[in-house]
Amino acid sequence: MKRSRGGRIAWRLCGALVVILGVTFLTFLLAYLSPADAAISWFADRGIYPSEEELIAKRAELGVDRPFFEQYLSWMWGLCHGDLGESLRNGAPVADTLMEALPFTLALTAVSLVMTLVVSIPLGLLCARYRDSAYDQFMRFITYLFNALPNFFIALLMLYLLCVRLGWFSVIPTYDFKGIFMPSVALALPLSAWYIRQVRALALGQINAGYVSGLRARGVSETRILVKHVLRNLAVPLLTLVGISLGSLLGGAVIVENIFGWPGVGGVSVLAIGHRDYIVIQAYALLMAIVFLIVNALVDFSYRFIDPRVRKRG
Amino acid sequence: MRSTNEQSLLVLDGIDVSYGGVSAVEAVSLSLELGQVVGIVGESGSGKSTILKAIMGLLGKSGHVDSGDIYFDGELLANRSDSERISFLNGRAAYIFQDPVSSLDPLFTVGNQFDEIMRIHFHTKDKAAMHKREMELLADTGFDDPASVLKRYPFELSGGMCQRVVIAMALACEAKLILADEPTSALDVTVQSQVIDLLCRTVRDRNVAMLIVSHNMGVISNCSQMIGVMYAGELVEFGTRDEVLDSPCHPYTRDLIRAIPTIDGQIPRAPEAVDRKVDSPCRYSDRCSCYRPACDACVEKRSLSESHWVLCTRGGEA
Repeated sequence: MKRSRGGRIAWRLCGALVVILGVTFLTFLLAYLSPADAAISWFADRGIYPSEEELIAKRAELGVDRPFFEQYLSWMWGLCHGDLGESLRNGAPVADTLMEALPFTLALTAVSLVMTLVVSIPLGLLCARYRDSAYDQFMRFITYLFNALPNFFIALLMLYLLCVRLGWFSVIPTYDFKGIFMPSVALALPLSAWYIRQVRALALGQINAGYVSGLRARGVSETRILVKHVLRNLAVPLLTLVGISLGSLLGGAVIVENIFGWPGVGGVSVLAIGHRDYIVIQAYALLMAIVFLIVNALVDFSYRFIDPRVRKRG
Repeated sequence: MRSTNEQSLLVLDGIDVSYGGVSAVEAVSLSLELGQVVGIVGESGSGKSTILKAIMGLLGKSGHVDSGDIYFDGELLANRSDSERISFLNGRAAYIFQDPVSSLDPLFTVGNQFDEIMRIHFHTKDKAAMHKREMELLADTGFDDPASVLKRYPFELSGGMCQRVVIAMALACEAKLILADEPTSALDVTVQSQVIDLLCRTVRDRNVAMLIVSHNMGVISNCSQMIGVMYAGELVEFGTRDEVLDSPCHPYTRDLIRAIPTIDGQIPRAPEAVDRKVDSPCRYSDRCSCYRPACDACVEKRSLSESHWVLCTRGGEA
């Protein structure tokens, strides 16, 4: 079906709205169903052992004793007025807390994504170029290994080796490049392993394409074919990959941020989950959904810059 | 044989090619001189394209020339690796692909890809001179508006236009040998003759040699001086155009010529394979209408004239 430019944008926005509604509803439901109690957490934080009456009073004060739909709708009502509410845990405005933390998470994700691409594109291309060589076999083993290691394990290992044993980095992060290096590497390592395999497979697919034989027959060198032509043809599938892996990157960031004490939204959300602070959890899920949607829209939009077929056919 | 090697541009001397141990081409010999067009005809899988790929070094990882020699301009190619062969033939031989659109990189304009080739072959950075030469070549290959073609992407051109662009690029390298691998199979019938005419004109005007491969007897008979017929990896008959077309001697050649559809609507059928359960040295024996038990004894190359030979013990007999 052919749509006008405006129509396409409107359609996309509708889709985004549905996604956001779905995400907020599902997170709300999950937070509601979880066994933690916001009132108990509130007292526990302050070292008070509450009586049953105090708990009931607190629940009423926080509004968590209301029926599920009433809570959800009142939260939505606030959202429609631009009010994300206040934390159930400490009463701080949620929007401020998250916006303070968001730049840290975005910086972490961006740095680890750049690291991943810088490392995995050349290594993956080399694997494809020297397929089945000793190098390729070695990389296949290494990537297999790192693919299987979860990033929290890598994070703990790095913390122990580089910070505790070797003392190269401070255990408590500094907010500069040295500080962001550790958590980014912990995120980038397993992701790179996956990317190297993807780049290798994609490049091998391209090497069998007709245009590669064509260029070879016309005398273009193997290196030039790889670096100029294959890489450019890989850009579209790679970009799709970036859009997809953003989810695992943001998810991984939550855990890695906690391990390294990086002050991003991951730390905020884990704390909120522990306290059943659904107001914060909601805002976090909403924020991540929006980031995800924006990045995917950018990815889709940038296809037209890379592929003339998309640009010219619209 | 040595003496012809020195005059001929290209000599194949009994080459065997296999893919991962499976034989695709066996004991193929032929030679090609400047100004000459040699056509090879045969059905899919008979190994025609493999011969061209073996010459150019495009067999890929699994393909391998097992034995036999390939001489180009007196230089031995067979002992070179694929990449060495490509860099040696670069500027000496050009390859025209079956599917012209996919033999160009879809993401770069024709002009960009043309510039790349010009830079490789002439080590020049003079954009204006390069551009001028590109325009000339495109005009030579029949484009009325070469400037606009240079700005287009391959997907914006038709198959015939892409094939002409590829031919123009081949001419840019000033190749002496053109290897045309089913150059018209992916094109519309009306465009086919244009491309064939262009290739023939190029051979004539520039005094180059062309080895053309097709499953279409019509295409081959239109442009070649010499015709080879391939069956199951073997060259079974070879001769001048008139010898092969007017007095075909191999039963397969006769069946092929008989299978050309005629205008009065007769659709002739190729003979079906008959399972004779005999391990005959003649590969066509299971489909051959002239098969005799004596054919199982041996198969030999028989000369019928100085230029005409056939791989059939019974060659020439009805």
